[in-house]
Amino acid sequence: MEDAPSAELRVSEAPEAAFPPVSGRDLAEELHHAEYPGLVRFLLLNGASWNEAQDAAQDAFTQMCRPGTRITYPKAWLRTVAWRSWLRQQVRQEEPCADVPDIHAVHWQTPAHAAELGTEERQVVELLLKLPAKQRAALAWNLDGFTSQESAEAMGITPEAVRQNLARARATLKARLGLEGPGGGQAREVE
Amino acid sequence: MDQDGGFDRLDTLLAQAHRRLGTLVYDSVMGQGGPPEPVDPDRALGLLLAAAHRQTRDAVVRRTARQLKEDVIRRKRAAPGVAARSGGTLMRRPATIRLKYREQALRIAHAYWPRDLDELIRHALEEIQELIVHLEAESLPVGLPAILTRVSEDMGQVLTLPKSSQLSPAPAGYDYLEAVEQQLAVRAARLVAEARNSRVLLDTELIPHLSDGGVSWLGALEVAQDLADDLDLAHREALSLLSAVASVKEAGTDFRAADLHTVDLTGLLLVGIRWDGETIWPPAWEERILRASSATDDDLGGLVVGPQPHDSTVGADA
Repeated sequence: MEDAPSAELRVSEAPEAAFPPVSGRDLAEELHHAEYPGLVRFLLLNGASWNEAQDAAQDAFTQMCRPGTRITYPKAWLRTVAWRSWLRQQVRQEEPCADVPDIHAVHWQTPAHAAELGTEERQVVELLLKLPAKQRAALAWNLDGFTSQESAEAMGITPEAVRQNLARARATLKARLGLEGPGGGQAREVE
Repeated sequence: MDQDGGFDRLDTLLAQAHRRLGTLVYDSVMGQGGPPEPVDPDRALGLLLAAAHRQTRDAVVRRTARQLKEDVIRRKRAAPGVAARSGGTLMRRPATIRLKYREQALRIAHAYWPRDLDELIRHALEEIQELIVHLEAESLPVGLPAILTRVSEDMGQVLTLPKSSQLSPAPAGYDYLEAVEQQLAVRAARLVAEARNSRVLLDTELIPHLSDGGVSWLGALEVAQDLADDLDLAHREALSLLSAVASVKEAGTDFRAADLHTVDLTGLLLVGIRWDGETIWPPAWEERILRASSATDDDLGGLVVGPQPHDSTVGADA
């Protein structure tokens, strides 16, 4: 994967043209249905619990609606904002709110415990969640189809650091999943 | 498997986990009714404040209700000894008067507290709070008309409280019953006033708001919140009336250490009286009352008169 010099955003499915700066409110209306689940998944892979991920995702859309918000690359914007919101949740150590929505549609808090996933996927997710936070974040951006350059800008670190974190994450996962060849042990740097 | 093969396999696994997780999250989100609608920060703040406001009020209502109830119970079970009694004005009246007008006083108390009005109002308040939660989410609860009718009927029950019951002329000690009546009537009037406000608001504003074809969410929400506030006030008045009723009952029940030897017990309702070793009964009655009494179950060492010594029974025995 190589970093397109200008684009902040690359989407795995289809190369998406950057939006001309659009008012956040309109964008939120347009995107929330399609982007909300992806945003939740992104946060889950970063280590958020189901409830935290939903709170942060909703917070991101709320912030998107803030008057005067103009956004060019909404998917990256949403992820960055939601991720920060989730970090703030961690820092604030909120008191358990009495008003936690009493919804039992989901029985798991981290996808590693989701019975709906296959054993293999659960194992991958479980190992992924054990990675250090930076590596987890780099991998989550990467899996959502963002380049190292885009992830770096969103995470506020250098592209090199992103690549390094990504490489370490992959090497660790490869080792823990037992995918190393007979002569393995020497992780390859990606890209 | 060489190293590249290992990474290929890892990529496949990661992509697969990513995809499956995406499907799972999508299904879960849809399973709980889809992504929440995006809301303006202003509106989000409004909802948060409303929810915090509501929950705080609920917490306050619950706590004051619990405290008042505990007070009432504590007074009922006042620690042994006369000193620990509630010291209500009625308890300061002579025991002979309290005993003589006991039955009428208890009847008056019952007229003002025919059932657990505080529970009734609390339940109505909960129904309206539930409705508020729905209105905030711009939805209506199932069976709404029935709920509103029930709340209206419950308030109607409160409205049937006596304004001031008619006293039959009594030769002496009349002012004891007047004092009883007055203590209850003042509080009952306040309760009835609050209940009437609630009902008017419910019948003339909330129900029309909700039964029109197009519901005005904001309007209905505002009225419902006003109604909840009114019901909350009514609930407090109900608790105040309850504590007055309890003190009337106490004055008509607690005869520990009372000197009753001059009272003519003929025709008086004695069942339920609490007494103890220091209570002085008329000598002719003492043994019968003792026989009819049993120890109270709250280990205060007192005795409670059972259903035995009704005047007719005792009269025949005598």
